Amino acid sequence: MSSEVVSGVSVEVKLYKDVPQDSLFVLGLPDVGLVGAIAVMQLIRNLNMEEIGYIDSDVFPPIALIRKGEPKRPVRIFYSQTGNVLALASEVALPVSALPVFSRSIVDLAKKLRVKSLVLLGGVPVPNRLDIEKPKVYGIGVLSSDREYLEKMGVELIEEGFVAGAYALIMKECVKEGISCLALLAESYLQYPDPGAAASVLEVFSKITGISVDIEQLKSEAEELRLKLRELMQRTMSALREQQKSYEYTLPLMYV
Amino acid sequence: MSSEYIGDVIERFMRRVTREIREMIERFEEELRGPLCDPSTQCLEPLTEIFETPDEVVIRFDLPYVRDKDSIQVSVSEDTVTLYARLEGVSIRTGHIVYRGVKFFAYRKSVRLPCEVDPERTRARFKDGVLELRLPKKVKKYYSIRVE
Repeated sequence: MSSEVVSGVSVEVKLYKDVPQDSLFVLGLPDVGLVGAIAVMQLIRNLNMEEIGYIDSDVFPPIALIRKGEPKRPVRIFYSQTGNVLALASEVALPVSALPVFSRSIVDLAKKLRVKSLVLLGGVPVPNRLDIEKPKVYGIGVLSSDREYLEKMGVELIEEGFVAGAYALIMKECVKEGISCLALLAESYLQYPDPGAAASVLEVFSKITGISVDIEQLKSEAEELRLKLRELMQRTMSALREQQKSYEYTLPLMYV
Repeated sequence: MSSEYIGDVIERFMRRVTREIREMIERFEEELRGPLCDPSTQCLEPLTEIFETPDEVVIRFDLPYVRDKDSIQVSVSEDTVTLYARLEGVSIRTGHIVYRGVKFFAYRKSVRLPCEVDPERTRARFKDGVLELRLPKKVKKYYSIRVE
């Protein structure tokens, strides 16, 4: 795959190798408590996933990631044959102006690769997180079959509310395209990296997909991650303010 | 009474405008700021969350690697909170040039409060590496004046 134009903006989606259809496409973007970003980092590390591509665009921040001396794109795609899983990890908080293009590219890619489902990992901020020992994980399913599956697996669905940011756009695109999409959101801190919430999300992810992910490693490295990810958390907070994330505390108007 | 009331309204308005301008400047500074550490003083700046309830200002500091409450010193005035928390020489595993080979021995942070508080009634708790301070807002006293 190569460059394409989405909503008048140039986007480059590059895959170095073919991916079998029916894979799970897991996303963990820097968001509330960096829950999704930490969870996907652990998934990639634990499954020893191979880097197979990237997404880049002129509207993304002008940033290159240096990893082991090599410049890389900050939004990369990984693959593991174990469980037939694709994962997208972003090491930057994308500005709100980049989200429509980014989200459209994700759903286009999911469609082209004929993925089985998109799985969005993230957090939902709760003010009493300090008093919660084990964060609860809530689910959102785009298709009715997604919702039925989540309920069957014992995941409580979010019945009402708003979702803001990239996941909101991805879900709306999935509704339009009829693509299966499940979101798993753990109770988390808003402004602090929350490896505990990421562990909860991965536990539920393992349960619903049958793909085993070691969360003990994540728990043992929790303090290190909280220290290491402070700057990314701060940058993410700036992006979240733009994304009107506070909408997620708002009650909807309609009863239908 | 009536002029006092108007004075209060103006004061509240001015305080809100001042706070909003200050928050705007802080957000701008945040965008341009450097790392949340100072290798020259071997100090880290903690992530900090501030919010208000009707009666309190709540501040939370994220303090990973702070082992116990005895390592923490907090001083509170009517409009500022200052934190110092001791660390036992923590280093961050990374190849990043800012952090490589540096050990950090403390968190330091000074926070300006969004409104005046009663420092003596501050409550603090430390759990799972998060310090939470609850600062009761200063209550203005009103006196009924009998008109003669």
